[in-house]
Amino acid sequence: MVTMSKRRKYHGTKVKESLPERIFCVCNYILLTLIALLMLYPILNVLAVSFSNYNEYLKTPWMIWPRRFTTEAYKLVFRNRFFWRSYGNTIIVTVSATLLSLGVTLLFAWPLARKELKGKPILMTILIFTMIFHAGMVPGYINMKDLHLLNTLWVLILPGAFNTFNCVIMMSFFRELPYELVEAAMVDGGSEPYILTRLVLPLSKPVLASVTLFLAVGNWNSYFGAQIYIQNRDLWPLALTLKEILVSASTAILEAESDPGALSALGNEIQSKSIQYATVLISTLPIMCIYPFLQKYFAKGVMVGSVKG
Amino acid sequence: MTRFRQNVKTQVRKAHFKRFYWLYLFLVPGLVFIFLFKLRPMYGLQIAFKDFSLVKGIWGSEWVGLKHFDTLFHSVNFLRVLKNSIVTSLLRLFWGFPFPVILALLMNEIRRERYKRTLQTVMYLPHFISWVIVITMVTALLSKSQGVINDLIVMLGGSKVDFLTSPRWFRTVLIGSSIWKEAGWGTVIYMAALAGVDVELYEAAMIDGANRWQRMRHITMPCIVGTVTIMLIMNMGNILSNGFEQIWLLQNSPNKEVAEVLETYSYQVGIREGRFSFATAIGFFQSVVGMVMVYVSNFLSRRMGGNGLW
Repeated sequence: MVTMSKRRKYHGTKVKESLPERIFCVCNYILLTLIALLMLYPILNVLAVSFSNYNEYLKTPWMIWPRRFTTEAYKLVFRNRFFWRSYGNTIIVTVSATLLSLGVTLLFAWPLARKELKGKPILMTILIFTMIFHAGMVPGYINMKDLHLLNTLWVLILPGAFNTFNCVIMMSFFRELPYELVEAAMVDGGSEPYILTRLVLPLSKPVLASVTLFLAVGNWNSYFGAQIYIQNRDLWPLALTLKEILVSASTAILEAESDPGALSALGNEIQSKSIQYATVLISTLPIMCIYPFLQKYFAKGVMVGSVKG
Repeated sequence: MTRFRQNVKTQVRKAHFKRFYWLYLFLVPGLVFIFLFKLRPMYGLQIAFKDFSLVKGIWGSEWVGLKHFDTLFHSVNFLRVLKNSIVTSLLRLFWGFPFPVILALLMNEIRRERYKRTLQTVMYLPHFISWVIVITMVTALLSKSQGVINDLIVMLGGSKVDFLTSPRWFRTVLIGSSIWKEAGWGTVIYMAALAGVDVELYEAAMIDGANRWQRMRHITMPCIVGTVTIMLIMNMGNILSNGFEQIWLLQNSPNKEVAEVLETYSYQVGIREGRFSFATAIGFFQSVVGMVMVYVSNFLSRRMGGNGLW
C-alpha cells in the first residue's frame, strides 16, 4: 500500500543545463502551448457563437468571446421535446451500459490476473480471438434480430457489456497489485468475494475511473448502433438526434418537432448556427463535467500489457 | 501406486475447486456476453457462402460456395473501395500514429507539474466531443461560404479552396480531424507508461552527466517502446478498417469516389440495400485480413526480440 501511494517527484534534482538544452526547453513550451490552443480554439468558438446574436456571427464567425450576449438559442433548444427525449434515452443507456460493462469486465479480468486460476490458456485464446476477429456488421444485425433486440434500448446496452480492450487494461493493472496482500487475505480465510470487494476494489480506483470514463464517453457519443438497430425515433439516443439536427436535416427537425411558431416568431434574429451550437454545448456538457474529476486517475490507470496466460 | 496417485490428483483438484470456485463463477457473466454478442454472430458468417433469404433463415438458405467472393473480386466498385480503405488507413497510421508518441515525449520534458496538467486537460478535451459535433465544427471552419480558414486564405491573397466536397482534399480533412480529436487523448496510454519510469534512473543519469537528449534517448524511450509496440500491433489489425462514424459524416456525393471505405460500403450494400450475403462476404474478408495482419506483426515483433501482444 505504501509503495502504491508513494508520490514521485519528477526530475527532482536541479542540475545546470547547457544553452541548447534551454533553447529546446523554451521551444518545447511554446510548441505545446500552441498545439493546446489549436485544440481549444474550435471549442471556444462554439461556446461564443452559441451565446451570440446571429448577426454578430455573420460579421465575425471566428469570435472566441460572445458578442451581444443572448441566451435565445438555448431557450429554443430547451423547448424542443424531441431533443429532451433523446437526452433521456442517452442518459439511461449510458448509465446502465457503463455500470453493466464495468461489472462484467471487472469480474472477468480479476480471475485472469490470479495465479490460482486454471484453464487460462483457453480463456486467453478466446480473449485474443474476440479482440482480433469480428463477425461483421450483417451477422451482428441478424444476431440482434434473432435475439429480438431490434428497436429496443437493450440493443445499445447489452452488446458492449464485455469489452476486450478494457479487460486487458484491467488485467494489466491487477497484475501489478501487491500479491502478498491477496495471499495474506487467503491465509486469513477471506472468501473470494471478500478479497475482491474489500481488498482489490479500493486499490483499483485509478483503473476503475479510467475504464468508467472510456465506457461513458463511448456510449454517450456513438450513433452508429442506433442508426443500424433502431428505427423508432422515440428511442433514438442523443448522438443520432444530433446528427439529424446538425448534419442531415439541419434545423428542419428542430423547427418541425418543437413548436413551429417559436422560430418564425423570432424571425431572422436568431438562426441556425447559434441553435446548432447551443445544442452541441448542452449535449457535450455532462461528459465534460465528469472528466476533470476522473483525470487524476489516468496517470496510473491505463497500462496495456501482453495477454499472456 | 498409479491408482493412488490418480486419487491424490482428484483430491487436489477437488480441494482447488472447493477453495477457488468463486473465481470460476466470476467468469460466468463475461462468458455469457462473449457467447451472445461475439461468438453467436459468427454462426451467421456462413451466409457469406449461402444465398441468404430472410424467409429460409441462416440454416435453411442454400449453399453457393464462393459465389459472393467471386462477385466481390470482380466488382470494380469493391476494388475501388478496398483501395480507398487501404490507402486511408495507411495514411492514418503514417500521420496519426507517431503524433501521440511525440506529444507524450515532449510533454514529459515539461517540468512544471501544474502547467503540464493544464496542457493535458486541454489536449484531452477534443476526445470527449462526438464525431457528429467535430464534423459540424470542421464544416463551419472549412466551408466555402463562411469558413474561417477560407476567409484567411482570401485575406492572404489566395483563392477559396473546396475542402469539403472535393476528392483531392478529403483524406487531408479526414486525417486532420482525426489527429485533432484523438492525438491528445492518445498520449494517455504513453503518459501512464512514462509515469511508471523510476525517477532514480533519471537521477543516476544526471549524476553521470547525461544531458536531456541522452536521458530521453536512453531512459525514456526504452521505457515506452513496449507500449508503443503493443499499440502498433493492435493498429495493424485495423489495416482495412477506418471506422464508420467519422467517414459517414464527411462523405458526400462529390467526394464519394475516394471517401467510400469498406465500413460505409457494407452498410450501404448490406443494411440499406439488403444484400446480406454479399455484405457478409465483405465483412468476412475484412476480418480475416485484420486477423492475419495482427498475427504476422505479433510474430515479427517477437521474432525481433520485442514485446508481443501474446
